[in-house]
Amino acid sequence: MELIHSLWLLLLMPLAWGILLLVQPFARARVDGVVSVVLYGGLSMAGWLLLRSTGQVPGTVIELPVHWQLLKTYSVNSGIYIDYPTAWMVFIVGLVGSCVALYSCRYMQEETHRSRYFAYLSLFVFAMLGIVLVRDLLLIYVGWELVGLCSYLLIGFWHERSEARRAALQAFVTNRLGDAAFVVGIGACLLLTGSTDLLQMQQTLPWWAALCLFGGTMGKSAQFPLHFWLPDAMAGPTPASALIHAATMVAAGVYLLFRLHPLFPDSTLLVIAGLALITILWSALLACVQKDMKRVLAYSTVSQLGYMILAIALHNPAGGFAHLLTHAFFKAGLFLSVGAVIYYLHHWQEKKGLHFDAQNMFLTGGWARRALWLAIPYGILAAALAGFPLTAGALSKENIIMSVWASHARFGQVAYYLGSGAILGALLTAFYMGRQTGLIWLRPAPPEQAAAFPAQPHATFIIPLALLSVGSLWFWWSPNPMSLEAGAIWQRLKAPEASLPHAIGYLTSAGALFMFALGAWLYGFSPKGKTAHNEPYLQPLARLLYRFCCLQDRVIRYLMDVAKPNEQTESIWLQDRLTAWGLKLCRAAHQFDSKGIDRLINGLGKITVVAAHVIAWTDRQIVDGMVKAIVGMARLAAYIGSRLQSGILQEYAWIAIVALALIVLGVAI
Amino acid sequence: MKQLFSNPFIESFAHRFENIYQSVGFLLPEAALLAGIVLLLLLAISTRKAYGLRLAFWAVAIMMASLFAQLFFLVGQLRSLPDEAPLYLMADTLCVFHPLQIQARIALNLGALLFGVVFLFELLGHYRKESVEWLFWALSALLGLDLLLLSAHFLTFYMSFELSSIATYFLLSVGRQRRQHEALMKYVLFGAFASALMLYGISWIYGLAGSIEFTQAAFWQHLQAAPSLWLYIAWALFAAGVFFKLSVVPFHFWAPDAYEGAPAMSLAFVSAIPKVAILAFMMLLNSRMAAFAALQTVWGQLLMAVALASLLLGNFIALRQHNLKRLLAYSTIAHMGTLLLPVVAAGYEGAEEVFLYYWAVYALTLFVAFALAAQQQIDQIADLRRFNHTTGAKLAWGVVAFSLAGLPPTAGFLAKLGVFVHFWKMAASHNLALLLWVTALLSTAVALAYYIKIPYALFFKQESEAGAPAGADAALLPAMMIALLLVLAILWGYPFA
Amino acid sequence: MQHGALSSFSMILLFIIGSALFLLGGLFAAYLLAPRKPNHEKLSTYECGEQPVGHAWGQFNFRFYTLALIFILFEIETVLLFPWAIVFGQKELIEATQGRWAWFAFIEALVFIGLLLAGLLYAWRRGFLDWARPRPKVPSVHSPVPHALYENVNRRYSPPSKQKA
Repeated sequence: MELIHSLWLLLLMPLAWGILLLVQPFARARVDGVVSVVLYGGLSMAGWLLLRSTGQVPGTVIELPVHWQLLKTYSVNSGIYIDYPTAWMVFIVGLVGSCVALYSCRYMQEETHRSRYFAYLSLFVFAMLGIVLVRDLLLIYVGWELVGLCSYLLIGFWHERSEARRAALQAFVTNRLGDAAFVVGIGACLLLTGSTDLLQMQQTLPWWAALCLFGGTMGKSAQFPLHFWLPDAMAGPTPASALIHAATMVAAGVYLLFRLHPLFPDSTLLVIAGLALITILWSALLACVQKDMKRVLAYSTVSQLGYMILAIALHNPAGGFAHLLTHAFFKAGLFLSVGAVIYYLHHWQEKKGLHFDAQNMFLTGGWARRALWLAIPYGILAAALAGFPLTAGALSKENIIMSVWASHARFGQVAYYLGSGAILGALLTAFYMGRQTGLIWLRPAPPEQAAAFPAQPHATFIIPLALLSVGSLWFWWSPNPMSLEAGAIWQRLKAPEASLPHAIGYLTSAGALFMFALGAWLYGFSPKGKTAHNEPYLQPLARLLYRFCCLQDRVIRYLMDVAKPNEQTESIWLQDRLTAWGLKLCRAAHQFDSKGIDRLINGLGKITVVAAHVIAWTDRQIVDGMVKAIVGMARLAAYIGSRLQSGILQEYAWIAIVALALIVLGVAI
Repeated sequence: MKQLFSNPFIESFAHRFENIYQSVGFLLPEAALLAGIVLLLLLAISTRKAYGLRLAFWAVAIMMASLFAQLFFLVGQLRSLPDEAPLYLMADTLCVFHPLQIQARIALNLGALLFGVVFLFELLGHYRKESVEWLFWALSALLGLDLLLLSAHFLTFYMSFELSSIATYFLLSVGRQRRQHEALMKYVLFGAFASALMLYGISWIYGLAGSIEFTQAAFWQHLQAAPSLWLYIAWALFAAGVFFKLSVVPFHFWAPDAYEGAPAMSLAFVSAIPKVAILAFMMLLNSRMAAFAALQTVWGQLLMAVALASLLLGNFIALRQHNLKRLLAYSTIAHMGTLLLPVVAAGYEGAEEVFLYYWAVYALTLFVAFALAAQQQIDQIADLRRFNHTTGAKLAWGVVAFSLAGLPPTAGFLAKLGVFVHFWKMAASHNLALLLWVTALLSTAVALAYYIKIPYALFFKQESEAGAPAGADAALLPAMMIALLLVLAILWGYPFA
Repeated sequence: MQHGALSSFSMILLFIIGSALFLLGGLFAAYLLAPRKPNHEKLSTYECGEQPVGHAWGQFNFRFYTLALIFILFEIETVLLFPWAIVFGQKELIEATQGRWAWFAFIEALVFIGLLLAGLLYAWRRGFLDWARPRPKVPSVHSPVPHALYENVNRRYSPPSKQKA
């Protein structure tokens, strides 16, 4: 047994710890948390060491092959392998994991099932490392499903809340959709190339197989049109959201695409890039109108994932991967700092016996004054997400934008459209981050909250935040604050024909600064935004977008039949909406000249509602009807069968004889 | 004194005796079992007390010793397989020296050993009164099944069949409540009825073939000459007894009633162990017919029709069941329908592997189920949530449901997959077989609907307030180990070619 | 093989026909010769000296089954030991097998009898052979009405046929 075999511990330790916690919950406080922190810290240390050893010489791969004879004629290499990106992933998963675990020590302190939470966390980390470390798609799929399961458990951790249950189920089912495609893709790989080994597959796949494989990414990394589960997944504990959004679940999809994209044909990659752009803009737009502080971040995650996928699809794996890593830092940090705000608000609320939505940004404010120690890390992290110069986020995001522009050499005209879209997305990102900063931190607190309430700095909050915000500064990633090209990741992973238009990067940065400032001013300092309890600007657009989110939610709920609202409220809801829209329609007809666009949009909204109801009706009447008919037949068969079981022996004997005779007759003739 | 026998007879007698004398050694495994049975009897005689913990320990010790001895001899036989020449007692190569037969006997033995282990664990936990009797009947049933596999003659077959049946009756009666004896009586009477039909069928076969020594080629040749309708009747009547033992439609009626009140351990034994012997016997019979296509068609079609009926009826009726044991009874019926697939397709390569694997997985799963159910006297599925199960027990229940339903990641999935893939070889060229194959697949899907009730009751129903405490039973340990094994089995991969 | 089997089977058939004829012949002869003077006692069912009470489909005491089972065991033993005893001592057979046949058959019989004996001992030990009489439980009634009154009423209103019997 060589030392290298201890790499198996990377996988075994989180698994063993998770199982131990499940089987034997620790009643004593903090044992579970502290051990988890140490365990994940150890993982990230291991990742760091591996990074050093794989980073020195390009192309170093540490392999521990194990051949698993799955069929007599077909074996799977179920060993682990570690190269440069893998080492990075191990490092980042461990680091974010330990930050989240440390943070959870306080955040989840009062939960009765705290051990179970840490167990899920540990299994989650295990599953993610499983995806990263194994080299065969079949085994990746195992990890893939485990990640899905763990996310289900974590999102639904507060399963006594119906919202959490529904969100968990929705996340799970949505991921199944993607996974179904993924399975087909794996099967296609096996058929076409005869192998599912990541390191052995060379041949370019046909477009349909590539799209199927991308289906998996679409589900896990929440790409349009399977993106809706991620914002709803906010129903879980905030640290768990941080983990899901930063290093584990959503990263899995991007990581998979990172590994697989050399096998994809260009046409598919272009489709993927298009979808990614839609995702970026769509969710950035939605993030601009959210009231819930966590949902803003959730939509922003979707949007940032779109950037990563856009980059990878346009043959810039280095940029995409770098953005995955930097994003892990600042998104985890953002969730943790916003989570701290929610935590204090909740406690204050409970103490005062007040009831308002603690996550609604319009109902609070002034946190910069109240908790500067929280505001500073938040500021750094938000700046990183918005793409300010000197931050890691600027490095990776601008690299992506520049590479998209540069890819016209390969993809032609369309690269310019994609590039412009990406810039627009970056500006929107800066805007909504400015908006959030203004709302939570900068604007004065509402009068009832003005009296300072305790927000003592806790070490369990400060340490992770400090760690993550320092990690979001540029110098770890590249010595040149304006360009990723001097950094190690780019050097190791870059595509050969890279020559980037830096001017665009600088322009985007400047634009981002401006948009951030605009957002912060509009919501933090302007007289209208300072005191608003609701979205003060762009009312129609905001309402429409917001309503669209709700609507989408309802449609999905119908389609999945997750939680049917009862019939009565349903019809009232419909009536309300229809009359309201009817009135609006009249008004809009009067003001046709000035508000034509409004009417159009309303019409679209109405069509969507009608379509949703038609779908729901079809689902209830036709699909359900068929299912009911089949079930009825099965019931009938069961009924007849069990009627035969009369309990009277003579009848049994007769039935047996007659049946035997019938069988003989039937078979003989 | 006048000479009773003619000289030629004496010569042939001497020859046959020589063969018998020399092949007595091949009965050593059975001798070991018999010794165990006699020792158990002597143990019971040796004390005035009918019950007692120490007595029970001794009984288990004796049982284990005899089983280990039998295993030792059996493994020896398996090893010496290619070298030995066929002897008279074992009329030809297909009898004793067929690998499947020895494997099936080893499977029987291992199954019983497992029960011994669990019994021991149960003794550690809580003491059962009837242990000596139970073990006695278990060993007797085992002896009967073992001899059944050895038989080369329908009469020996019938005798050993009855031995195992009678032992089974008693196994199911041990520890019963008074009011449940009605179901048991029905079982006994129905068994007698089926066995009478079988005897009648054997007499038909005798009439058609002029002999019932089925290891002789002449027997099959004569049988083949018979008209096919008569053959159908003869085989169907003969099969009645077999079907009864397997609890397949239309001889399944006894199973749900008898299962309902029976003690769980006996049930696990009765519903799992005898099946392997009977099915292996049928496979051997089938392989004997290989040279006689007409006969094989008759036999095969009969079995396929019965398998079809069992799959449909078993799975559909199970949908309505709320009682755990009744559910498992119907599940047994359906599983036997599935297990008939490799028996029908015995002529295609790999049938033995698929069959033994499926049986082993099925037996282990049932065993876990009953061991878990026994701990807390769970009757209704809904009762599952009344108990505060430990996480391990809950997971084990989950494994049971998944494995019975044939879902990954359990061995049940591999077993089902193996059977279906193997049977496809036959289904591809045979209409009835194709129908059966499709039915089996579809009914597997139906089966999901009722197996899922078990984990649903455990994991998703609200726990009621007055939850009974979980039994801290030692016997849970082996059950959980086996459940783990059923999951780990997937690591071996798909074990068939 | 088949021929031989059938010929020995035909012997059994002859036996069956012979025994049927014998039985019918006896009955027929009795029909011809016997005097017929029936009375109540003669027409009643013969039950080994017991009074025939009730009809044959009634319930029997469960203990009869135990005894009957054990009885059947020994019947079978006897049935098997008769042919065994005939072939066991055949000098020609013993000589033809260098003496091994006798030992073999002897040990076989010992095992057989030994097993039955063990079973019998077990039944004995467990007390299945004891015919424990049930203790009749006289129902006691605490009634304010004196017992004699009941007897008087019984005597007066009981059916006359019973009094006759």
